Amino acid sequence: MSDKAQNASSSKRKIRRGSAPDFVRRLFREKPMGAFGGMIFLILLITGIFADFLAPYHYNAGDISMRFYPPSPEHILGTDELGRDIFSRIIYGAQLSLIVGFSATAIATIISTIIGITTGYIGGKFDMYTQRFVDAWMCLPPIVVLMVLVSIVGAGIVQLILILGIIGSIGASRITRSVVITVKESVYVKAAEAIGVSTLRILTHHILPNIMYIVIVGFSMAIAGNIMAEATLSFLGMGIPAPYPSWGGMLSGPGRKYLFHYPMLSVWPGLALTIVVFGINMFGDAVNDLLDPSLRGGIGSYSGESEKRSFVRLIKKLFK
Amino acid sequence: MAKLLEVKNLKTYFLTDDGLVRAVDGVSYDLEEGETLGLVGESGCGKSVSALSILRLIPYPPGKIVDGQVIFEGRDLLKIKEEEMRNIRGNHIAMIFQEPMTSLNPLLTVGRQVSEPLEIHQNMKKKAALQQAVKLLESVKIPEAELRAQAYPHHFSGGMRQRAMISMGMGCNPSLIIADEPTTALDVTVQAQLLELLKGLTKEHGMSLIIITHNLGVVARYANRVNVMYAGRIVEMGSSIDIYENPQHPYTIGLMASVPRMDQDVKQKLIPIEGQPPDLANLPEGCPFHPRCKYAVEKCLHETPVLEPVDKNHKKACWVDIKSGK
Repeated sequence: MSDKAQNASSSKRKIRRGSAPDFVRRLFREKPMGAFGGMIFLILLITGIFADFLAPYHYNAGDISMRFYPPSPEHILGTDELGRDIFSRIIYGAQLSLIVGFSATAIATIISTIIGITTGYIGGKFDMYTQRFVDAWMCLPPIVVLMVLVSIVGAGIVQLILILGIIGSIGASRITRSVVITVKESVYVKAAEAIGVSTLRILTHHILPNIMYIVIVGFSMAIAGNIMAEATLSFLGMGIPAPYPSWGGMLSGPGRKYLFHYPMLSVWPGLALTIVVFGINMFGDAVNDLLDPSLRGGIGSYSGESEKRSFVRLIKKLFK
Repeated sequence: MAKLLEVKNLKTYFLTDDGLVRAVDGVSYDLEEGETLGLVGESGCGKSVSALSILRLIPYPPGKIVDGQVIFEGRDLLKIKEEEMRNIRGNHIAMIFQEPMTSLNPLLTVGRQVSEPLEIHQNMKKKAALQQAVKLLESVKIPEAELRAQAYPHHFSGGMRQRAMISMGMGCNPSLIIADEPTTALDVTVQAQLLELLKGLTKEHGMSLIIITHNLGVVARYANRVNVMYAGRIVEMGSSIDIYENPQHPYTIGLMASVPRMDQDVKQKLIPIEGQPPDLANLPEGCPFHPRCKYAVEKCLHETPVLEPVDKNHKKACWVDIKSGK
């Protein structure tokens, strides 16, 4: 065969690389629970983004004469103590959870990555002082810190997002830092230094891609935590102010007051919260397993057996 | 020929829990343009540290270059600013590391990594640099270079990775390449290929080469001159012919006796150097080699020998004249 022909055939060949569709395929094949969680997450996403179109009523529109209506075609989940449609309020609550969860986590991830990368890479005294501050910070119970900060700056969505974001970033920076330290010691970082790459470029081009998996995992895990934190604060009356429908707020005020008269008032938001947090956690776990290079091989696509198949086999064994 | 690199009295110490480790303790040598220098010695004798010191890549803490000069193309590398140093690394002096399996970033394509020094030092645009990287990969005989440039390091074998590392080092046409045990992790057959390649490329471009190794065969074949290091010091230096035909330091003699030679009797036994390599934090008084040396005399226990000429271009650091036994 002539060289030309070989070259022609080689230029058509492509090196296989991981892609987004590939990732989704692996998610469904290897992590069915994670895929389920991912779908819950997707539903939450769609509900949150299109809340204005999906909700049949405005969250604050109510007819006091229609209070405590049981589920009916007009009000799928019934009405609350002010005659407002619970279904609509759940949908707007999803939007709120999504906004707070996403923004706070985004802020936390960005700050924690910056802190983690710089302290981990630079090391020395800078690292020591920063980490002693992180140590001291982590001694404080988060819920108390949250409540104190909220009572200082006042309640509101923006304040809540900022507070949750900053608080979340400090603890998370520790994880990023520990990964950065292991990556920093690798020969390819030394090699990059030896070809004259500047510190900033090493951080962004060589270290960041190698710790990206931990950043993504941290992000997906923290979303659930922040949604819970928002619900907790709203439950305690320090989160989102009253007329706005937060799931935590719906649980606490009227939910608790009418718990024995009309338990559905607290069941629905509670259920929504549980499902969403569960789903996101499952999704986060699956993302973790699929992205962590050290976990590849054993339970990944090379194990020869997916979680689903092994589950099926287990069931068959039991019924034999 | 002009002098390319002059290392004068280089001292690199490490502050550890066990005390001060004199990893490199007063090393001086120079290198001409186009020359290949072999740095030989057992593990932990300061070969790699002395090379890293040239590039100022010693991590501080615990390491520190305490004294000395490294004059490269007329400038003292230990005195210039960090930014200037960065311009020298990869651009004028390239380094090839000993572990090809880990010295490439696993998440960047090989082409991207080979093109990185070009982008940094020659202000090439990403696309042009990538095209140049393909040419570089071809020059180190990687087949289907265009395709391979899009591959990730885990698609490469060890030899291919080391060749990619070499092409990365060659990228900016440096005047000096430091190869730190470039072949340790590779098959013997691949080792020879790789060294031939390295030698050929450096010759073609007129680059100088420092090969750090503990493989005497490699040095004999590829180096013009040899520095033998022991406990952070150079104990013998000379042309490779001097070192092989006429070793003068007891340590060099011991090294030669401990490796098989083509011209020796098959049944002849190899003689190891007795004892343990020295603890650099706790060196014996006098000549550091005296506890293991069969030629040692009273003077060796108290006074540290200095490099003295034996011949033109051949120096040794030993009080004893081996031939006469005094």
